[in-house]
Amino acid sequence: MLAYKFLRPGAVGPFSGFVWPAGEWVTAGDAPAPCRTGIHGCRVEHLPWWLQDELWLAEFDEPVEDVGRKLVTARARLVSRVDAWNAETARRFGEACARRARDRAALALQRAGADGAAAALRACDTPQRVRELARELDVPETARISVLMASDGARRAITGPTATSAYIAAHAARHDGGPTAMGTERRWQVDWLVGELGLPERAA
Amino acid sequence: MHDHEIICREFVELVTDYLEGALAPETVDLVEQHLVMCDWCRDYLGQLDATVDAVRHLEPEPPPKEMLESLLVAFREQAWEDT
Repeated sequence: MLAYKFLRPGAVGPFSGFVWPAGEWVTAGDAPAPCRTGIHGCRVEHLPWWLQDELWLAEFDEPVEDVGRKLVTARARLVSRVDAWNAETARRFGEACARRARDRAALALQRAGADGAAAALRACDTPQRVRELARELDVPETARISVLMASDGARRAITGPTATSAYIAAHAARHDGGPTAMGTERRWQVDWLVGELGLPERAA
Repeated sequence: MHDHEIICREFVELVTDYLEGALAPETVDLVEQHLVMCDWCRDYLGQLDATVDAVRHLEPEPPPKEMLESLLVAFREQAWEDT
């Protein structure tokens, strides 16, 4: 089956340090250390949890096991790199996530009666501006965590890692609306990646 | 979709078992998801891994003679009380 695999620059496994030879079959037991428990990839709906610098489409030999948000096999090969995922798209995705956290914080401010602060936060058009404003604002206690999360999300949109921006946006959603809102936020992230990267919805 | 994601405090509790390969695959999954996005915990893991690696190469040192004798006395007394 086809699976997605995120790697560090140079097709390096993020946990194993294994350098993947594009196109060649790799068996978990033979290679120096592809992974302790097999070769890992993921389905499209789990991409936001595993973001790294390079995204590859990989062929996973059967049997393939679903473990949490991973797919595990004993043998796989990299088929092709998804070139649409690059530093620029990662930056745009991080900023999109940061905007979502910003808007949740603005909503929290509004609920707390701080309409002016909410409008000012919504008007911030860059992560840098969100960071600056978050330091300046007089934040009511009930909106404090949401504004902190928006500020952290903005910081991670600037510095990376991109996966952290996605994580913060998901947890800002959870803080605001519970587990259902977090699930919805993660699905929004998947939809963004599928749309922007032109991924088939069901490659894996 | 299950929604559990671990936080840094949970990671710290799990990190030793993670390094020893003693976690269930589902928990490894959660730990590695956390490591993807948390550079602080990644640094912590790297430091712990380096420490374990360094200590592994040290020769074990015997305890000082006085400490060894006092421990043996304590063990014998305990064993006597337990009989």
